Amino acid sequence: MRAQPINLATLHEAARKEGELTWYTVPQTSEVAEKMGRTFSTRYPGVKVNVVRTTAQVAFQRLNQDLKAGTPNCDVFTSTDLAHYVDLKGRNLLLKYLPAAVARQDKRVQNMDPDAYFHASSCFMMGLIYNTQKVQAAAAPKSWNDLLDAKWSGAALVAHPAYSGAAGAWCIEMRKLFGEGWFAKLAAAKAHVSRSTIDAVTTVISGEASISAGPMSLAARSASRGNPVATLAPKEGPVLILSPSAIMANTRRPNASRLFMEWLLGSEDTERISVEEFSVPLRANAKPAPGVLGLSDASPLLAPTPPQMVAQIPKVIELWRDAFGV
Amino acid sequence: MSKLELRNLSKRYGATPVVDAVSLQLQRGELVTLLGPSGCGKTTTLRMIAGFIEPSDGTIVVDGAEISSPARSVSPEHRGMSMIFQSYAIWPNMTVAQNVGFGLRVRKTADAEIARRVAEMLDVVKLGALAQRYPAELSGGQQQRVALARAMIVRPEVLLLDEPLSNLDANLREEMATEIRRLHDQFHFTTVYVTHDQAEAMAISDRIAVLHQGRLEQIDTPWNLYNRPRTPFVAGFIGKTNLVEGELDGDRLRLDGLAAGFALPGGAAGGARLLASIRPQSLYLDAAPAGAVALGDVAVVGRTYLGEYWNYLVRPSGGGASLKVHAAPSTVLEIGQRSTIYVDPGAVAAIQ
Amino acid sequence: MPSVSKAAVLALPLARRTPHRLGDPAIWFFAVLIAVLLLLVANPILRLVWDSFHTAEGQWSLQSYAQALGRSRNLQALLNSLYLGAAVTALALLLGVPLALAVSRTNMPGRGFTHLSVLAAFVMPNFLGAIAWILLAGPNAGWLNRLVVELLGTAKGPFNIFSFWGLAFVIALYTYPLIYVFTKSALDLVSTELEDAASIHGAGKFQTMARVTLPLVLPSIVGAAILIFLEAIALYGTPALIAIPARINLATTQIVSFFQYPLQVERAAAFSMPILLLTIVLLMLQRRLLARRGYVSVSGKGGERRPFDIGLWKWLLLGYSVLVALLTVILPLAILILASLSKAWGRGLSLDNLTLANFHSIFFEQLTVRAAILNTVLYSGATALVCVGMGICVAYATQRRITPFPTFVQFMALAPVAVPGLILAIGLYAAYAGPPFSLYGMGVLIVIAFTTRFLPISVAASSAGVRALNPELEEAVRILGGGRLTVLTQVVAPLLKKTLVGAFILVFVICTKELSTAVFLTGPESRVVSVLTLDLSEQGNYETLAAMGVVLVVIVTIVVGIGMRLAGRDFMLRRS
Repeated sequence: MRAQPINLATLHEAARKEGELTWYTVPQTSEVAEKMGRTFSTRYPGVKVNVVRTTAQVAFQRLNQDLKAGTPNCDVFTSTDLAHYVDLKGRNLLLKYLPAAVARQDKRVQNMDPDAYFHASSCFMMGLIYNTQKVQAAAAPKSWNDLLDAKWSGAALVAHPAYSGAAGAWCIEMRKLFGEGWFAKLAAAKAHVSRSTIDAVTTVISGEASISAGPMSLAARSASRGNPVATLAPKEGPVLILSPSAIMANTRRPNASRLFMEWLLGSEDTERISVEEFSVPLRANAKPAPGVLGLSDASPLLAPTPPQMVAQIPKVIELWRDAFGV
Repeated sequence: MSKLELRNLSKRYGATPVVDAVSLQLQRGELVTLLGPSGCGKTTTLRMIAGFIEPSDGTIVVDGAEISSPARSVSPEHRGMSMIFQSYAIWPNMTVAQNVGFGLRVRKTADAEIARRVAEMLDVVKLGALAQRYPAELSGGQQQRVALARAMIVRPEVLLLDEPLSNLDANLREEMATEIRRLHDQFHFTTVYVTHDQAEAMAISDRIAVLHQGRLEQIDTPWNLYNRPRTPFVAGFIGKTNLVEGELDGDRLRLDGLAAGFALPGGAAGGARLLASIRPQSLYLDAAPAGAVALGDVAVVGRTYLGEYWNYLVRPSGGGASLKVHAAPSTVLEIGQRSTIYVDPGAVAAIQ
Repeated sequence: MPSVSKAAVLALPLARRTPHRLGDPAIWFFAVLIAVLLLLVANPILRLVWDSFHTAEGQWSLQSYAQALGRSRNLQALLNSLYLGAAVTALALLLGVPLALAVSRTNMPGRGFTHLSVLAAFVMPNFLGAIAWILLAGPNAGWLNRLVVELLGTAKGPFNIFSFWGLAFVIALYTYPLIYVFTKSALDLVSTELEDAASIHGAGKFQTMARVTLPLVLPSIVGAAILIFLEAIALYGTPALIAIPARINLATTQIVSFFQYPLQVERAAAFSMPILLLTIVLLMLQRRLLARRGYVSVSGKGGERRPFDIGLWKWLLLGYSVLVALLTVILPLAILILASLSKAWGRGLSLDNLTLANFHSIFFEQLTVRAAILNTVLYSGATALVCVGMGICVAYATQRRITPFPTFVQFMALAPVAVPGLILAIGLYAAYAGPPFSLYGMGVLIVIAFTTRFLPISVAASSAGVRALNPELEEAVRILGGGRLTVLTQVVAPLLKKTLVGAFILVFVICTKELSTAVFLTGPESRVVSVLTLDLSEQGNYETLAAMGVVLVVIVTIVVGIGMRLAGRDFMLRRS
């Protein structure tokens, strides 16, 4: 089912006059993000996409710097930290817009914001990742708590919630499962700290870490390319990381932004890319790539609610800093 | 009206006066030299005239208009003067022709005119063949000429020269001194010349201003300066001299230690004591030319033979200061020998 | 009077041509210069201090100090930075002093090679070196560790770059050239006669070096050590790459965390104050040390200098020099090149792992990388140009006392040296990023930031050059009617061409390496290679990083090579 073609064509015309848009994005690697930008421009000639890929905290920080300076750099903001969007919405900084594709999304992710200021544009799951050369499948970790296991001392990697939005959501769930003291135990187990969950995959591939908590989609994609990495969902359940997208209210290119949102949330291109990238598809009843858990497949599935994200991220960052010292 | 006038010009650094109430006037076309030992303030005075230093007191007036005073000074670029520096200050990044033509370029003269006048001036200083050379390829004397050409081509109000010959070899110095005088005679720029070399000053100046510790001792023609010094410093600085004290009785002067007196031509004003300057070549031993007066007995206490003359040091038998005498090679006296000393009265200068 | 042409003015009799001081265009030019200097230097620093004493709402308060310095974790960050500074200084001295001694005083063979290797270490950006050493000495996958494991069969390699001493080691590797330069400059002035005298009295070679030569140059060494200390505590790039995984909180990483949401500029400002004060105090100390010339008893022309024969020690020193070259330049460059040609660096050296895809990617696919490289070259070039132009003007104005308060003006031009780059960035951000200037995210802001930071280098170099000029050359222009500007453009600048070219290239190279100043000020359009390295390193994408780094090193090497031909072999390693 497609969105009305006439609307898209007019939107494209208007977007072409604006010529370009700037996309702050978090959940993809810069390689993939740039590929997506190029694909969009091929689909809609005359509209260039300036891709800025960083971790969630850095993206939010830069966005705020832009706003404080009065320079509207970012047009479309795609991140992994829900709390940021709640905050931005509260400050009237987002543009209300309901892309047609939202109607087709899985019920679990559809109503991210009832007021239609921001919507889920992608999602992935955090699971356990391990290096297949260093770890036999039988010896692989099965539970989140295995990260504390002595046999992984100094060889486990976790991402820092002050930098990574996905790590923030993951920390919230870990705190629910194991309590506040768990982070100190993680630090005592000499876990490596990275700034990004993407690093959680590449560091395991390089062998610098043997196991990590990281994005299952990225791990699966790397594995498909021949890298010595594998991923599995722990028995407590993977953590669902929803990635919202929104248009900034002060955008100078509203039409290009709307066009991009339509494309991001519901085009053939993005669906195809999401399967290629081993992501979790958002469309109801969509099939993920073989071996990837879909929204209906994972049970249990850990997912912090938006109010929890807003309230608890600062707290888990504090706990982390106290535990790890950075 | 004088061309350049210094009125009570002073410069102090802290409490020390480097130039102390110097007053002098230059007429248009004159070449006046500021002469004195190092530290006497001559260069400072010159730089005040140029405008690089501001006076602490007094004024500098050119053509009746004040250009330097403690309150305000015209900057050097607006004085229309020229200067030749001790180091020549030829710009190494420009050719000889570009160096010489610089002042004209600043005055926005037309290019054709510049080329013509540069060629002309280079011929005057005999550097026509070297117009396209760079300073690094020139000798000291040639660089000197470039500096001269560059300074004169703009027809300055006042031409200033800061010890221009001190960096040259002795034989070149004489040649260049003559050259400078020749060019002055050709162009008649009002010129202020600074040097410590009195022979140089005597050779080229219309008048010489002798400076000592910041004060103007005497300003006069070379002849007057040599023969009629008015202060002990001038007497001793210009040529060699004996400074002797004596009793004055009317117009007769009797020097300390010597019995006879003599009439001082021109008389002498003032009290009973007098300081006189007598050049060694105006004193005679044993024999003397006509007109010389015998003064008394002396004993030879030292002597040096210098080829062209004897330099005798003699002590009057009546005591008093020793005197230096230049005698002809034929006048041979042993140390300890007694002799009669004569003086040419006309060559005695009274110093108050 | 000012509107009349110069020729006309000079044609008037002197009585009528005394123009007013304000008519001189030179005065206006230098007035504008000072105003710009004030804007560049005074404004950000004052703004920073002001911000530290106010809350976000604008009220006067010491609250920011309480919040910034009240937490023990934050104070620990400051302490850690001080420890790090001390460790880096010690290591840098260990690296730099023996090499300077070897090249300047002894007959060690391969002195030219050593000198070149120091130059190479200087050109290498700190953050790139850090990346290379992560690849070399990562505790589990680092190639050196893997080598040891393979050769010796141990379970784990001995090297761990993610540690305090690993961090200190990497920083020291790329800051030691400063020690070398200062020490060598001072040693070059010492006459051999002093060593001969010691030898005649029976002192052995080692004793002579230690007891006669070194003490003479101690003030210079200490002066350089202070600079290294200050640089180490103000560094951001390498700490972000190594200290965070090593779980060491440092002052700079702490400052950056204040910039995370919610934005706490005031707290960042308050936290920066102790560092700023420490820097100023240490710099004052350093100036006094170096002003005491009495230690180096020389004519200033160096006296006679013969290489001092140290016998068999020369082989030891040569070995040491080769080791240093290996650690600073050869190994890191090798691993960077290998990684840039790898599909996945973790897989190790094998034929099937080689590819040119990374280079293809950065030139043709990842547009941000290509743009960043272009930006870096553009901003560095622009900064160098502005610095050189402003530098010669400021130097000339202060050395010849054209402006009022020349000492103050010179102080202002050199003041940014006392402000760590990160802190200066905060000040510049506070002053210029928002309204009314609204320069955030624009390349202009980066150029402004770099210019402010590196102007002192150009001013110092130009000042030295102007001081060496015979003032009579300038007076000759003036007496012939040329104003100050004519003097500057027709005589002073042409005569200082070599100095200016050298300064240009020096500033250019230093800009390419600069990270701390750029971190807050780059927007999406104006990213430079250093900041992009940091961003990309978050993803662990070392292959692309390495490719980008190799390209940068190649560009900078070419520029330096041109500089060496134009301005002489030593222009970068002369002490300013």
